[in-house]
Amino acid sequence: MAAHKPITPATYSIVYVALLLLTTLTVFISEYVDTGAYEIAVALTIASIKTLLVALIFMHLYYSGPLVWLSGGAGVLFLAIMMSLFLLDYNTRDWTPGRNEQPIVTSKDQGYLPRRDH
Amino acid sequence: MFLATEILFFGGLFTAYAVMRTLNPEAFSLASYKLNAVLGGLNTAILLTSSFTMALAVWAAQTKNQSLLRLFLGLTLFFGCFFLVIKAYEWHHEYEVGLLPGKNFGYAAHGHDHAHADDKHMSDHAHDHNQASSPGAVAARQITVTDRDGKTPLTPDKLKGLQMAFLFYFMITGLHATHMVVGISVMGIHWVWTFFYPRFGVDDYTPIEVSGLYWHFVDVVWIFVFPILYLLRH
Amino acid sequence: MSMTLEPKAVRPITAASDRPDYLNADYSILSWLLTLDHKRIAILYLISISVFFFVGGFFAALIRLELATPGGDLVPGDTYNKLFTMHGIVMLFFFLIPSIPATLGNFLVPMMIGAKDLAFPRLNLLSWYVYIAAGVLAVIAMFNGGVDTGWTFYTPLSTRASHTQVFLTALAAFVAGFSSILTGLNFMVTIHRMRAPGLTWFRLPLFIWAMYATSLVIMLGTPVIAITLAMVAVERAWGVGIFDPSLGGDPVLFQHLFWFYSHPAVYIMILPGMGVISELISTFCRKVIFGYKFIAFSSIAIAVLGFAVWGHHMFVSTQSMMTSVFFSIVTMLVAVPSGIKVFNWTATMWQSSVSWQTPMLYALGFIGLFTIGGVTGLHLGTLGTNIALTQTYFVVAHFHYVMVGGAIMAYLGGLHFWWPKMTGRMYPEFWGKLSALIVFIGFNLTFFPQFLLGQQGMLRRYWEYVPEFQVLNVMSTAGASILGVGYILPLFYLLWSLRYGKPAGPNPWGATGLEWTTQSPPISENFEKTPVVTTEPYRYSREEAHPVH
Repeated sequence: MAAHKPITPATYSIVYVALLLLTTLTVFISEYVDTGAYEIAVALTIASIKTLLVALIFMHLYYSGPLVWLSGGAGVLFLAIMMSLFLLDYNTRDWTPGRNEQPIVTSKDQGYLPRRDH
Repeated sequence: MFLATEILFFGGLFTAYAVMRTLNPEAFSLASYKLNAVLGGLNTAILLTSSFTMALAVWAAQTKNQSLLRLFLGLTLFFGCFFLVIKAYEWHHEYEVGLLPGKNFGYAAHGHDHAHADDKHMSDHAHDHNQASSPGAVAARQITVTDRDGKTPLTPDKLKGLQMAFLFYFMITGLHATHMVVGISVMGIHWVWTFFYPRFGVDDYTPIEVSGLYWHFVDVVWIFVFPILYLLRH
Repeated sequence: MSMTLEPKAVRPITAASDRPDYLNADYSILSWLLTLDHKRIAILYLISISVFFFVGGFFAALIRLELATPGGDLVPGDTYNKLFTMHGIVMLFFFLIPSIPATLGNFLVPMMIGAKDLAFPRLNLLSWYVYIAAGVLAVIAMFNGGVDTGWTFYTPLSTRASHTQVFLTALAAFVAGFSSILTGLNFMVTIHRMRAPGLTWFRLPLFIWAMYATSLVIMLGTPVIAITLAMVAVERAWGVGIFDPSLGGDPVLFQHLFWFYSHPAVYIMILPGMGVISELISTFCRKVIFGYKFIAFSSIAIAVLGFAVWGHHMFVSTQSMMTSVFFSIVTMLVAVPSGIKVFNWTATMWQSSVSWQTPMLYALGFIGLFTIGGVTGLHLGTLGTNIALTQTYFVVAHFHYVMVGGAIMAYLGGLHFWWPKMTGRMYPEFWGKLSALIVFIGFNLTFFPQFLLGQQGMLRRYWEYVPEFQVLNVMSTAGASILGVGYILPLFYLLWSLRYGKPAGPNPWGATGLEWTTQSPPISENFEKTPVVTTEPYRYSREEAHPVH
C-alpha cells in the first residue's frame, strides 16, 4: 500500500461529524421536506457526498496513486454503463417510431395527396 | 481492485432493484414507508461510527501504537455487532408483521391465518375427505398488511408489488449483512492476534489497512442502501 | 541482460545441469498439489481444462450424431436439450474462459515481464482449487440429470419450469467465476507492479497487453453473472418472482443481467487468443509487429466497448427499439478494433520471411477463420437481418467460427509454440502440421454448412429438422468427426513428446521475449538474475536466417 503521512485523528473526527450531520440532513429532508419528483436525486446526491468523504479520507483515496483511482473509477464507470442502459430500455419501451407524428391521411378533395396537417 | 469487483457485484443487485422500482413505483414507495427510518438512521450512524473507529485503528497501526490499535479495533467490532443486532431486530419485526417474502407474505406471523407447513397438509386432508364441507374454511385469509393510512388491508395486486420490494430489501440487506459478518470475522481474528502477537499490526500495518478498506466499502454500500431503501417513501 | 536477437548465441542463464528445473524440483504429489509456482499451477490447469475439453467434446459428438438424421432418433428431445446445454456450459465456463489465461497466461505472464512469480502465488493456487470445486459441482449436476435450459439459463424456464439441476449448475458456474476473478486480479497487480527494470508499458509483449485487457473484463464483468446466478438460485429455491411476470418480475431483466457479463465473457475468450497470435506472427515472420501501439490500445478498446454491446443478443426480446438501435451501433463500432488487429497482423506478414511451422499454421487459420466469424457477427448485429437469422444455425456457426476457429486455434498455436519452453521438448513437427491441417479442414467442413443451414432457416437447439436440411447436416457431422481426430492427435503426440521428443534448447524458434532467454524448462525462480530491458519488443532484423532448432 502506498506510504503516506498518516491522516490525523483530528481530520478523521471532522469528517465523522460531517458524515453524521449529512445523515441527519438526509433523514430530515425525507421526513419533512417535500422534494416531489427530485426525491431520488436529492437522496442520492447526499449519499454520494458521504461516499466521497469516506472514500477520500477514510479510505485514503485522496493520497493514493493513480492506479487506485483508476480501479475505483472503472468500477463506478461500468456500473454507470450497466444502470443507464438497463434503465434506457425500461424507460423507452413504449417508444415506437412515428409515435409523435400525425397519421397520414388522404381524401378525394385533396386529390388523394398524402397530408399530415389536417 | 477487489473492491471494484464488489462494486459490480452489489451494482448488479442495485440495477435490478432500479429496474423493478421503475416497474412498480408505488409498491416500492410503500415499502420504504413501512420501514423504520429512525432505526435505519441509527444504524447508519452506528456504521459510520465504526468506520470512524476503523480509520483511527489504521492510524494507530501506522503510528505503531498497539494498545490504541487494540482499542479501536475492538470498538469497531463492537459497533459492527451492534449494527447487526439492530438489523436482526428489524428483520424479526418484519417477519412478525408478515413482510417476509414467501407464502406468508401479507399475513402477520401469529395470527390465525399464518400458514405453517403442517397446516397445508391438514387442509389438503380436509379437502380430500370432506369434499362437501365448506371450501370457505380453508380459503380467504385476512391480509394483515395495511396501506399508508394504517387501516385498509392491501389488495392482492398491491401485495405482489410490495412482496417484490421486500424481496429486494431482504436480498440487499442480507448480502450487506453477509459482507459485514465476513468483515467482523476477519477483524475479530486480527483483534485476537493483537493479544497474542505483540507486534501484529504495528510492524506491518497492511493487514489492518486492507481490512479497513473492506470495512469502509461495506459502509459505503450502506450509505447508498439506507436512503434508497428507507427514505424514498413518497 | 538486454534483449538482443541472436538465437544461436543465446545461452541459458544457467547451464542446464546446474539447477533442477521447475519440473524436476520435486516429484511428490503434494509438491504439485501445494505448489506456489505459477508454472506448475499452469500445468495443473492445463491438465484440468484438457479433461473438460474432451467432456465437452463428447457432448458435441452426441449432438452431431443426433443431427446426422432429420428425425429425433438417437436421443429423446429432453436429453438433446441437456446435451447442448452441457456442451455449452462445459466448453465455455470450464474450458474456454480459463484456457489461455489460466494455462499460457499463468505460465508466461511472470516470465514475459521478468518476474519470479505472480503477485499473489497463494491466490493463484486457490483459484485452481476453486476451479476444481466448481468442476466437481458441475460433474455432480451432470450425473444427477444435467441441465436442459441452454447454457443461457433463460427465465422462466430455468427458474420455474425446468426440473433439472439448475441450482447446482448455476452454483458451479458461480464458483467458477470466482476462480476467474482471482486469476484476473493476480494478473492485473502483477503487470502493474512487477515488471522488470526498464520494461515500460510500451516495451511489453502484446500478449501481456492482451492479458491485461482480459483481466479488466474478468474483474468488472464476472461479479454481475455471479449476482445474476444467485438471483436465479434464490428464485428457484424460495419461489419468489424477480424474473416472473406473474409475481411482478421481468424475464427480460434476467437477459439484461445475464448478457451484461456473457458478452464481455466472449471477449475474455478471444482477447488472450489475439495476444497469442501477435506473438506467433511476429516470431514466424521474423518481423516487428506492425502498429504495436494500435494493437495494444485496440485490446483495451475491445475490453471497454465490449461492455456496451450486450443487447445485441436481445434484439428479439422485446427490449425497446431505442435500446436495440443503440446496441446495434456500438456493435458495429466494436468490430473496428478487431479489424485493426487483423490488418496489422496481415501487414506484418507483408514482405516478411515466413516460416511455416505448426504454430504459424494455427495463426494463419485464426486470422482467416476469426475474420469470417467476425464479419458474420456484423450480419447478426444489423437489426434487420438479425430478425431473420436469430436463433438459427447462422448464429451457431458465427460463434463457433470465432470461438473454435478463433480462440481454440490460437490456444493450440500457443500451446505448440510454448511447448518447448514449458516441457523442454519439441513436439514432432510433421504430426503438428498434419493436425493443424486436419483441424482446419474438419472445422470448415463442420461449421461452414451451418451458415447455409441458418440462412435457409434451420433453427438451433432442435433435435429434429425437415429432411431438406439433411445433406448439409451430414456434411457438418462428417466434418465434426474429422475435427475430432484433429483434436485427439495432439493429445497423443504431445504426450509422446514428453518422453521421446527432441530436447529443446532455450530458444528453438529464435524468438524475442524474456521467456526465451531462460532454459527450457525454466528453473523454479524463472531467472537467475532479474533481467533489465533496454530495447523495444520484437526486435528481429530483416537478414535473420531461418532459425535452427
